[in-house]
Amino acid sequence: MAVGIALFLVGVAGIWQTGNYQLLASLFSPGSLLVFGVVYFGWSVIFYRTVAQVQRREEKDWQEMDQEIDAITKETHALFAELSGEFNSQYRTMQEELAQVRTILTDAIDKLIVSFTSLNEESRRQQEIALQMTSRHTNHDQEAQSEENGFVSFEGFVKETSDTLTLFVESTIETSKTAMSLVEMMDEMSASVDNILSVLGEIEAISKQTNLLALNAAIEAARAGEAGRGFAVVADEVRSLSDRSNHFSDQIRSQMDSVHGSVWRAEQAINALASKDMNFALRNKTRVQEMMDSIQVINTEMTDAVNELTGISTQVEHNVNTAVTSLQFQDLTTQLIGHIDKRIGAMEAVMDSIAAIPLDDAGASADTTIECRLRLKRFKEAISEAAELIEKVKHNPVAQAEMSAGDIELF
Amino acid sequence: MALQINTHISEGAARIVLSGRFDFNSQRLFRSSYDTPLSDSNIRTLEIDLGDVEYLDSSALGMLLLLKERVAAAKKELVLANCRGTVLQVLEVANFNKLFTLK
Repeated sequence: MAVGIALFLVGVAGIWQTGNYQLLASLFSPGSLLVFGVVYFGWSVIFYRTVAQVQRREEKDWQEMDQEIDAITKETHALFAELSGEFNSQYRTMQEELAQVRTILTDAIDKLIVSFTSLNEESRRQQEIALQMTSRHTNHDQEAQSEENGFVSFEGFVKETSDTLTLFVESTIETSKTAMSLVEMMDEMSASVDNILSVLGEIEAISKQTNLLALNAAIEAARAGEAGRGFAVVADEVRSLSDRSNHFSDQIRSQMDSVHGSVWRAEQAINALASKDMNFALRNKTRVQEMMDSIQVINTEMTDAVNELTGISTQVEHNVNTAVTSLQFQDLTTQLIGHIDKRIGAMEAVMDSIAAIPLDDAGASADTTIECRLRLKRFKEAISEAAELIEKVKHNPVAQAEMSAGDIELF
Repeated sequence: MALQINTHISEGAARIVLSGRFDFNSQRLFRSSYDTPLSDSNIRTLEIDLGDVEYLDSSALGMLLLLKERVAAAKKELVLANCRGTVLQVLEVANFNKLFTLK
């Protein structure tokens, strides 16, 4: 309307400028004034009607927008709810699976540790037994030991045999020595016997001589006749004495012969006793030496074996310890699983919080534009609230730093 | 081969050289070979040379032990010389290397 008036004034001014005062006078005549009035009224009416129309259209648009925003917020809410529900069910399954992993790990690790520990024990026991067995045979100091536990080592046995043989050799030689001195005594006895026999020979000669003399005397006595009768008797007596002497002499001789025989037999027996071949001793000595050498070789092999076994046993123990230590990853994994669990929990909480953000009508206003703006504002608030929650999760102590194995203590 | 003995006397030492089998049957011969030097006051050492001995048994060892006793009783010295081969082995197994002076 102001524009209309301004245009009118401009028109008037224009005409006045041209100096066409008649036109100007006619412009302000009642007829034209009336026309102007009508036109102006008509224009006003049209103007206000258009404005009202525009206002109404605006009102309708705002309402439509309001409805659409309402729909969007409701759909968003539903989406969040669905998202939350779906994620939560996934999270729950994850947590169940994590629990299963924990159980499986714990079970397996417990069993492995038991198994490794008993393996170690058995290896140690094996080592003990091996040592026991070999120490019996490699022990050089057997003299004292064998008395105590009644166990004689191979080496000890060989040595004992060797010592026994030495004693036997000594005994043999002693016997021979005694035997040889007996032989010498036998010789002396033989010499004595020979002496006796030669003396006996003398006696026998004397006896023979006496016999002859007696015979001569008897002949002379016979020649002397009666006077020689006494002499003849004496001669006969002498002869019979001589015969007796011979008889004794024979007895002695036969005894001496028998002594001679005995001595000879004794010598034969002593020969057998004294003459022992020494080769048996030589052979035994060689064998003992060979056996001791073999024992030495066996001992060396045993010692080597023992050393090797000890080495292996140590190695087994070392490996078992490494395995058991490695199994302690259980702590690491349990802690990691715990962290995963917490993360899942945090996510769940975030989802729930987002889902719980109120997006429905609260304090509805009559004015749809205000109402619409409020709704938008509420929507924006909701979204920023959700963003805040998500931001909080980022700074949650659970998600603090990247966990590395080194941060977690192992026993 | 039966035992044979040769005796050499020089500078107060009697060297009795044995050869052949030294066994029981050698008894009288051996005894008579050392009896004289043993009772000779000029002789200080008796040396029994076994270099040519082919066989030695326990009776020979017994005889040597008897000789050792008698030499000790006569306060003279006894040496076993030229011990080698089986003879030496036998003497060693009988521990004679500890009882006698071996040369």
